[in-house]
Parts: sequence; structure tokens; C-alpha cells
Amino acid sequence: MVLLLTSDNEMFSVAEDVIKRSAYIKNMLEDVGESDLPIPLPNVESNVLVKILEYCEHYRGEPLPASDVDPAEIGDRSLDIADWDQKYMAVDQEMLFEIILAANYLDIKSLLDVGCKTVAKMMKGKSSEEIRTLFNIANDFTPEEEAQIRKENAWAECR
Amino acid sequence: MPHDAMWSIPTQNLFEKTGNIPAEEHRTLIQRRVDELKNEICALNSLHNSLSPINRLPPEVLSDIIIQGSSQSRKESLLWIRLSHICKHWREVALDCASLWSDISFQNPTLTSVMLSRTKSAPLTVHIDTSFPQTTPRINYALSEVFSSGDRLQSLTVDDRGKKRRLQLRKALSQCTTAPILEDLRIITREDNCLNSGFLKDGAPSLVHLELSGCIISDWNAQVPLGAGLQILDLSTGLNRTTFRPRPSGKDFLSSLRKLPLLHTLRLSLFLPNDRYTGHPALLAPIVCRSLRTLDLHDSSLMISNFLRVVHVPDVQNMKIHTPHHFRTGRPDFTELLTALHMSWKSLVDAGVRELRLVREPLTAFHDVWLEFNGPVGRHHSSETAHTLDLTGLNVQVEADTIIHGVSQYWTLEPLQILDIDSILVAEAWATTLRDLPNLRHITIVGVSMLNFCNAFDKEQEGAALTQAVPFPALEVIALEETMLPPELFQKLPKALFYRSFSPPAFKVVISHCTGITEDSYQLMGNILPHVEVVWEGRG
Repeated sequence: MVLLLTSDNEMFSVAEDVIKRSAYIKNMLEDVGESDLPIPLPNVESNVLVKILEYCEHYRGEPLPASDVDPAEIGDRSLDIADWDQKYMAVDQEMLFEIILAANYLDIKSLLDVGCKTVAKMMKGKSSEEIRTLFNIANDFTPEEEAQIRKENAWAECR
Repeated sequence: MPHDAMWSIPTQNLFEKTGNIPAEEHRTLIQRRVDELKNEICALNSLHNSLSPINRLPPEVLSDIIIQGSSQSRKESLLWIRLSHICKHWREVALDCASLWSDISFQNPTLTSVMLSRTKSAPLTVHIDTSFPQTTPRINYALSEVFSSGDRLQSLTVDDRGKKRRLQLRKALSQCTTAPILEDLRIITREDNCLNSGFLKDGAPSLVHLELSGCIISDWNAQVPLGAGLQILDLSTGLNRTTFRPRPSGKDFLSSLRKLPLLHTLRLSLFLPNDRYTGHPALLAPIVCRSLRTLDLHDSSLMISNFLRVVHVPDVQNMKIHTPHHFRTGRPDFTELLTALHMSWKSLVDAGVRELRLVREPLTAFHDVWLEFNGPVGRHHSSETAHTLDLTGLNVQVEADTIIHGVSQYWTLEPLQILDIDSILVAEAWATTLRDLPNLRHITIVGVSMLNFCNAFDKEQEGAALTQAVPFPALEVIALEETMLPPELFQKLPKALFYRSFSPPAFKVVISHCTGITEDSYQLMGNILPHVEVVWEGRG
């Protein structure tokens, strides 16, 4: 078992084969070896870790995804998300982004990918203004920047 | 003018200056204050945005979200650009993400320049299609700009078949003499000598997929960029007639093939060497393309036969051979072609081939001949597809007997399950080649007499009953379509099927769009063959 200590000082005891989906923890275990000391997770709160462990438990025993996929690679990337993943990601925005942050910190590539896809799907077909409303973002561009953006919009809308 | 004591002190001061300083000076101070306030608003909005959960994500994660959000729509439009217009933070992240911009658009030359600058040093994907109406003459300037970055080209597709607009392709390509990371190159044009421009004369060592269509290749060795990593080679004259176009010499082409150990797909349309390979060592020791899995050849039967004699393709799973009608002055020499095919290919069955089709060109009145051998990874058929021999669409130039004899001479027909035919097979073919096939379960005969088929049952019928050598032992369905059924058939068919009517599997005769059948003859068959299901659409 592996001990994990969250930022709000909660201790979790987790099976090694469950948490090894996290490349961060896996590497740490390989580097440090067996230890009774908990691994501190200063960037992850307990309620988020519970969610992360739910994901790792669900995919327990399944092969880890290849690590050589470049996330920035542009191509026909599908936004398809497995049913279970969709249900798992049906949380409020605050939690959704906490999960993504934790997945990024813990280096759980498949979870990070699902999180990014979920957000990308939320934006699909929406205008800039609608996306701002969705994520509670204000237009903070200067007039000069606005002028440049208007030009780019004209290019974008030509086709 | 009224003012509010709650306003900021600099603003209140400006109100208090009213009438105390010259108007021009006052206006300048007011405008300065307005600009300050606008900047403050922007700053406050940025501060507000920093509290948004999505903006707490690290830039690399947000850029991945933006990439994912753009990837679906980027082929259809440029609307994805709006993802860089959400707020300052998103814009900074988007502009910093080189790969987001690397699929270069040619919609607007200014935009092309902007995208190129934003790609920084990222590999470029370029797809230009002149058939889109938005293509403008200025596209050539943009194209030149892209080709001057040839060292960053990773994927290049140029479709220059637009009717109204043609690119100055040769000029543009001449600027790109080397492309070290180019993996995918497709140039589709109309009788263009664009390759005679020094394009890639210094090589494209990373090339994996090369497709050239409509390019006039006058110097095979100098103008076709081939590298050891090439996996797909697709060359076409882009013509559907045999207008003379330069072809590679047999020597050059075979030399190139030897240097492509990873080639798994070869498609050549009117591009095979016009060569008998006389004296070439490959006649004695053929080149073996072991990695080849898909082979499409569209050419004269003779050129294909000659090629297959010197190039062996033992592990091809999907093969399509098309001999267009304009190559034939008489009957195509199928024996020659099938012999060469047999020499080149180890076995239809071993290769997992499930379907052999001979069909005519569907859109013309001319009778081209296609041979299609589709294996389990074929585009049209799943691995569940039954073994099929489809000989429909043949005309007088091609005899089904010849095909069946030729095929059965070199490959076993044992796995055959479905036979579709619309020309008369001689009784010999039915009786010797097809009669005892153990898996043949479905025969469709279209537009021709089936008496020869019935006669095949006649042969030693009684003897067969004794020895259990059932004719057509697996036959379940015989379908008769679009033919005249002569009166004698209604004597022969029940007689032929009488024995089968008591033997499993269950047997069915389907008659559709046929003439000559009457209610009486239908009833007669039903009476004689009580265990055979006879389906006549004219009755139903």
C-alpha cells in the first residue's frame, strides 16, 4: 500500500497498482523504493484525490497508455469520450478543473486527455462571447487588440 | 456639469479644472484619463479572469484544450481561430502554441503570413485545393512564402485541378529543393510538368507517403523523390485514356523498387514501365516485395503481366487489376495475366483473399475488366465476407469459361462460397470445375440459360446417389434473374434438383424478373419438389 498526504492533511492508503496510473507516483516509488513515509501531495485536496482514485480504481489492471503521444500534435483528434468517462466528468466546473489540475500534477495522461476533451466539447459550436459566459471570463482586450481580432474574425468568417 | 464625490480623485480633479484651464489642454487631460481608465478596466477584467477556474490551468494544458477544441472544425473552416479571441490569457497561450497554427490556410495571403509567423519553427502541414472558390490569384505569393520554409514542411497536399484557377506550381515548387522532415507529399494536377523544377532535388529522406497524379515525369530518377522509408507509392497519369505520357523505364523502376523495403501500398495508373524486361536480371531472379500488402494496377494486360513476371508480391492481401477497354483490340489474354499473377503471388487463399470480381466499368458503355482480390483488410469487405467469384458484367470479349479455367488452374476454388455469373458457362465447366466444390452455397445466374447447370446434375445422377457424391453438395440457394426460362427447364430443373430436395442443407430456388414461367410450371415444380422452397416474385 502507498500512503498519500493531501494538501488538507488527509492521509490515504492506496493499493500500489491503483495509484501507479500516476506516472508521478510511479516514478517516485521507483526512485525512493519502499517506504512507510507518506507521499505529500501539496497541490491536491482530499475531495479531489477521492475523485482521482475513483478513476484509477475504475481503470485498475488496464494497460497504461503509450507515453510517446505528443499532446500538441494536430490532427483529426476525436472528441469521443467513453460513456463511463463522460459520467465521471459530469461534475461542476470547479471540480472539473481541479481534476484536470490534479491529473496534470500527478501525470495521469489518460485522465488529463479526457479532461481536456470534456472542456473542448463544452466549447464546441460556441461563439467567443458564449465561451466567455461559459467560463465566466470577461473581455479584457485593449482597443488595439480588439481591432486585430476583428481582422482575424473577418478572415475566419470568409470561408 | 455634475460630478460624483465617489469618483476617483484624478477624475474629480478633472471636473474641478472646468473653466480654469484652456479647453484644448483640458481635452488632452480628459482623453489621457479616459485611456487610463480603459487600461484599468482591462486590467480589472484580466484580474477577474485570473480567478476563473479554467484560467488557473497551466498554459500547456490550456493550449491542449484549445488544440482539441480546434481539431474537429479546422478542416472545414477557420472558425477555430475564435478560440484565440476569448481573453488576453487565452490569446497569449494560443499565440505561443506553434502547432495550433501549423496547418496553414491559404484563404488570405495576409493570414498565411500571420499563421507562418505564429508557427515559429513548428513542422508545417499544407493543404491547398484550387477547386475552392475562395482561392485567389494572390495565393501564389502565399505559396511561395510557404515553400521558402521547405525545411519545415511535414505534410504537403496540392490539388491544382480547379477549373478556373491554376497555380504557378512549377515556380512555387522550384523554391523547395529539400524537405528533410516531409513525410506526406500529394500533388494532384492536370498534365503539369511542375516536377521539372528542381523540386526536392536534394531529397526528402523522411517521405512515407507519395502520391503524384497528373504530373508529367520526364526524368524518373531526378523528379520522383523516393526514400528508403517510403510506405505508400501512388502514381497516376490522372488520365482515363492512353494519351502518351512518359513512363519510367523498366530498369529505373525496378531499381527504385529494390530500394523501398517498407513499401506496403503500390498504386500505379498507366504508370507501369512499357518494357518486356528483356535481359533484365529480374527475369531470372525476380524482385520480391515482401512488405507489399495492397497492389492496384491500372494498365494494359500485357504491361501488368510483364511487370508481375519480374516483381513478386507474395504477401499482397488486396489486389485490384484494371485493364481499360482502350488497351484491347481483341480478347484480353487472361491466361497470360493469370499465369503472371500466379508466378508473382503465392496464393489467393494464403493471402486471405475472399473475393474475386470481374466487373465492367460502371459509368461507361465500355467493358473494362477489373480483377479485384479483396483480403480481410480490404476496403470494401469485412473479414466475414464469403469467398466470392463475381463474373457478372463480362461481355463477349471475356468468357467466363476462360476465367474459371484460368483461376482453377492456378488456385484452388475449394473455399468458393458464392458464384455470380451472367454469361453462359459450358457444360464442362459446370460438370468438372464447379460441380464438386464443397463450399459453394449460392449461385446467381443472370440473363442466360441455366440448362448447362442443370445438365451438370444429370451426370451420373444415380451413381452419385449410391456413392453419396452429391452434386453441388453445399448449395443452398440458386437465384435466376432476368432470363427467359424455356419449357424444357421445367423438366430439367426438377429432375436435377429432385435428388437434392431430400438432402440437407435446405434448398431454395429464387426466380425474379424472368419470363417463360407460368403458374402451372410453378405449381408443377412445387409438386415435384415438395422439400424445395421455390420463390417466384411474379407470383408473390
